[in-house]
Amino acid sequence: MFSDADETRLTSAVRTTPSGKHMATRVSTATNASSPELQHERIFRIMVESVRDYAIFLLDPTGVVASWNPGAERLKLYTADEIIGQHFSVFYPQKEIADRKPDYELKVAAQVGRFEDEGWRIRKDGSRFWANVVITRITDEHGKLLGFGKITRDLTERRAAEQRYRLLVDSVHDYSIFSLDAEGYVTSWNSGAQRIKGYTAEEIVGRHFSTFYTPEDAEAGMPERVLKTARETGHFEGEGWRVRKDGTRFWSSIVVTPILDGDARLVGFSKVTRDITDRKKLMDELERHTEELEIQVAERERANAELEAFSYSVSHDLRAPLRAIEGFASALREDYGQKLEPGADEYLQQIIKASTRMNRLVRDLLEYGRLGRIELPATRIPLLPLLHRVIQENFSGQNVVPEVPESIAVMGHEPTLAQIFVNLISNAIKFQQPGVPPEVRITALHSSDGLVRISVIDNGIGIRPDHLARLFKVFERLHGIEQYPGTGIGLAIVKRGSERMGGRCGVESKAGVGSTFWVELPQASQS
Amino acid sequence: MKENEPMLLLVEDDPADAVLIQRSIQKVGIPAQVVHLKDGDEAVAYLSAETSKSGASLPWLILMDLKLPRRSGLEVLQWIREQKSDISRVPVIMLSSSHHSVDIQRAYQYGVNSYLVKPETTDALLSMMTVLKTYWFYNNQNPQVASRQ
Repeated sequence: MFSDADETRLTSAVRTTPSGKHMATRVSTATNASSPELQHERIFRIMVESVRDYAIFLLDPTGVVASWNPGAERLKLYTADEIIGQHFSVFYPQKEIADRKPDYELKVAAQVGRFEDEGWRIRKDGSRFWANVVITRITDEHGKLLGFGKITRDLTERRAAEQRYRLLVDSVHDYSIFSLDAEGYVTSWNSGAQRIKGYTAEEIVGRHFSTFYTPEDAEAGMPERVLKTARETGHFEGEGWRVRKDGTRFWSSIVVTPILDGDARLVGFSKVTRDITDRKKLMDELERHTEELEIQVAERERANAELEAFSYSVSHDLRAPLRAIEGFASALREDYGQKLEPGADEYLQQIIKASTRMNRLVRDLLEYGRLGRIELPATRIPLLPLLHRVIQENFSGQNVVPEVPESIAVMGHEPTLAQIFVNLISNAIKFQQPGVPPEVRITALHSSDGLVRISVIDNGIGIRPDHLARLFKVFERLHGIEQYPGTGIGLAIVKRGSERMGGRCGVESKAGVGSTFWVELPQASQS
Repeated sequence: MKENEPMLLLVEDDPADAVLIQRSIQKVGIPAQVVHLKDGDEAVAYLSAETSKSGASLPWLILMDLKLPRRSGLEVLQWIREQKSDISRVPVIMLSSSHHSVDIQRAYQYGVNSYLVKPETTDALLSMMTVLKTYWFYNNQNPQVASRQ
């Protein structure tokens, strides 16, 4: 047991321990109650007694509790009366008592001046807490052991948090998460790091992180630059090739963050690395495809330009002689008709007919070709006015009736749609039944999927079901040229035109009753 | 060339087209003498010579193909519109087999008075010439010719 004087000396000894600067402290022998030193001791005792977050207490040289503060009471639940005079081993779990751990700790503290440990401790009610314990030797000026100061902190919460964090980091397999010390040597390693880089923790902890860099990058000073940037800016983020244990390379995305201690001193770095080789490959592939596509597009554009130039010269040069053939045959008939032998006029008419037909063929083919190449910018087209114009310009005086509500409008390329109407209506009129005057009706209906179906309905000869599929192909003709003249391109233009405008076309027909050719185009919003 | 009869300048390299156009001009009775030139250079040379003469007789109307050897119809048109003399105001009609919008737009940009696509049939050519006659020789009083008459 301590005498009062001893306790005063011990209290004074405890004063310097929290600073950690002195492992052991010589205790002053001054006992004068009125001296400034004693004054300090009083103040210090009050301070210790007001500390609630730390258990601060004294042990005599044998380990018996000699003083108790409110922090100790709060932490260990014993009151000062209950615990003073008891041996401090009551705070230890049974197993540690059996291992003589309390005695060992005092022995170490007595020999080297200080003992620090973390471990489970027992409260009065038997519950456990994870404690950080510092035991400090206290001697008098002659080196005689007076006892020990003991400071205990409850680290249960921190330990749980650390464990949760460690579990979390360790359970991450897709990210390599590890830490470096301030110089860049590996200090921790998770399962993701092992999976991605191939090293086990035992193999890599203690090695420098430049091991992960390619020799080129390492020589170029990349690892140092990474740490420098992280140190100076608080962050480094980048992508690059890294090397696995087996020497293979992978494309990684890395984030390096400096770790600072409480005094803002650099203690190390945390490093998170992801293997994004697959993504990198994908991106490279994509880039290559894009380049190839661009080349193809450029080639296609050139081919298109060539085709455009070709069709331009075809339209000019091929049709000029045709115009001459037709022109001179007509001139011959008109200017010298009377002087010709009978039969010559018939031949001239055949020449005119053939050249006219060829002219139309060239024109339709050019149109068909153009429809495949040129842009068809879509505008809002109110149907009824367009139909009126087409009918007036091409079919005036014929029985063609648009039965289209004024409100209906479609999205499309107006010249192309006009061409489609001309082709469909002229077909509807052309394929008439002998002795039945042609009647053509045009209707338009909103269909469910945002399209407008425009139908051209005739009372003509109709089409046999087995012929329907061939109809929209270029040069397909179902009838002899004499019976129903035409180039065989008209419906192909209808098909290509409607498809290029984001629509489609089709036909329903009954032989001997008539046909309904329809075109569906995107509906235009209300203007 | 008859005194006081207007002159129509035809610039056309295709001999067949030239014959057929001249025939239709005669057929519909356009009251003008036709001077036929075969390329753009000839047209510029002819017009330069005419303007430098005293008492120059400028064409009443120029009917010109777009595609011409050596100097295109567009270039001739551009040359005409750049002149400082009266010739810059002579009506020019482009008669071309091209119905490409680029050609048409450019011709109007360069100051053509009318752009006509060569018709495919003789009948269509005749009706086009009838319209041309009515508009340019009757409805449209040319001050140059009116003052001379």
